[in-house]
Amino acid sequence: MKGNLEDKIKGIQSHIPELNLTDKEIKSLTHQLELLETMLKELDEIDVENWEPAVTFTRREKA
Amino acid sequence: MKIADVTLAQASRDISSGSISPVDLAEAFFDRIDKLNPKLTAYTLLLKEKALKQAEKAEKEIKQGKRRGPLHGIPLSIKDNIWIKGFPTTAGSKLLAGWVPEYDAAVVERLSDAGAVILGKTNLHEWAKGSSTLNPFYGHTKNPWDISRVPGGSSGGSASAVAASLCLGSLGTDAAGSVRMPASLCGTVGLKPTFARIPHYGVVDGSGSWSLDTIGILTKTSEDAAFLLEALAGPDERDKGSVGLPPLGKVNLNHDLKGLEIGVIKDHFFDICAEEVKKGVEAAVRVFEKLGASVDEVKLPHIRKAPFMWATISRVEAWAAHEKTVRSSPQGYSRGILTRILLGQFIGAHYYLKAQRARAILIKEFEDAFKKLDFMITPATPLPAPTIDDHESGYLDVDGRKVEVGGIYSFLARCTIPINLTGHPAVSTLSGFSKQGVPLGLQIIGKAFQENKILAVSHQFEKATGYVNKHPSL
Repeated sequence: MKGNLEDKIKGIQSHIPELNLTDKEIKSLTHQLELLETMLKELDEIDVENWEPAVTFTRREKA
Repeated sequence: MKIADVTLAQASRDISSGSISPVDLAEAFFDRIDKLNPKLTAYTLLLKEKALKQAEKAEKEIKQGKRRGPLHGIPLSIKDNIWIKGFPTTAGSKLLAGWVPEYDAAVVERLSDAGAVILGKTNLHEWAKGSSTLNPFYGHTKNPWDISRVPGGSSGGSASAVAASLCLGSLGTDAAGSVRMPASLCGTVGLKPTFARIPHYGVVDGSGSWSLDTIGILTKTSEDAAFLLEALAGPDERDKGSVGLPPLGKVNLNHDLKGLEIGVIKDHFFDICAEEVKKGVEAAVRVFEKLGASVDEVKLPHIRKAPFMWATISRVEAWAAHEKTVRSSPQGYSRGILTRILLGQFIGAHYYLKAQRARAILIKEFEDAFKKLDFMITPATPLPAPTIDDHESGYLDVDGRKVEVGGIYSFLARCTIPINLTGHPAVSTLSGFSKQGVPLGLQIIGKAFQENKILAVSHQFEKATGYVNKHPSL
């Protein structure tokens, strides 16, 4: 994602003037955008080019 | 026949033997709906006139010896994001209020052909995008086990209707667990078949998610789900994805579990999960062992990344579906759904592509696991049904740990979303009851296109435990 969170919210409001976000909604949206950044960082950590199939099994001993 | 306890299978046998008529059955369900729906808001639209005509037709045909099959004369309901020709379909949105489809969905056609009686449309979370079915436009659906609790979502109306015996089965849609999760919270069976196994033609665009959504089935038992699946599965030219798939084959519920290999996935599923839910899964493992299966713990290296893949894909697909309408009519959405949809615009195409590539890795890991295993089990939800107050506060309590209801994804869908990514069939059934007496859910995941096998497994489990025979007192 590019730009800071405030710019993004301003961008949303300018595209959809009817939106009239309240302070509470802006706070919530800012939090959601922070979560979105976390989500994309998590995706960045996945190496989709170099991965080895590595499923493992551990047999459970019957009680 | 006691309406509160009757299953689809039992009613079907009773209709076949002539001990109950489809008209009497439909009327008994409408009486029960009149009594209980004001308390539960499971239905948003009743189709009484049409349903009674369908029931009369079924009765006449059956008397003439022209019984069409096990669904003939059976009262069902349909989630309100699935088209029924000539009747309003809202997808839980104010924007679609009053819109009337000109065609039946493929599944509605198939149910009509099977002679089923459709009692009405059930409530859902707005645009099928949420986990509570607390709908600001069409009312708050309640959980029949405790009306201070949410039924889950987005097919919460369907789950509430089945659990309260306001119908004998219902169709929902599942892009994140919207069939299995409310089934788990309301103590019904919820089947999400393999992706595209049931044709999707006639589901409202923008509800669910393009590459993740599947029509699913909610019933009181797995035996009941098998009857519906047999009527609904199969190709339809209007849904190209449903064409050319392996046939369903006969569902054999008496399949022996001896010698089967079960995998329990704990990573991700047990990471943030109530202790009593974990105990329910562990108890289920012991039941399967008694039935002759062997159990492994299986580790899938990318499973903990599943929520991030899912959220990226679903948010981009939501923005793609809704952008035009959001720009023209933002006031037509509740604020919560609107802000969630808006976020999709900040995810670039390269992230969408990366999430789809990562999804392919996850699918490969499931396929590798299924080379050894016959099926896998997990909790169906990380918690039993939370209260409406807790859900509306925005936070839930998991044994003292505070979690967000709707952060990157809906927390209640935590256990179901990985299977929307992989597309495998999965069923939610009861693994017991919480300390507060509300249901706990077990998810059974099968190999692609082997719905018949997971239904057999869940049926055997239900027979061994009897949890599905307990119903809420209303």
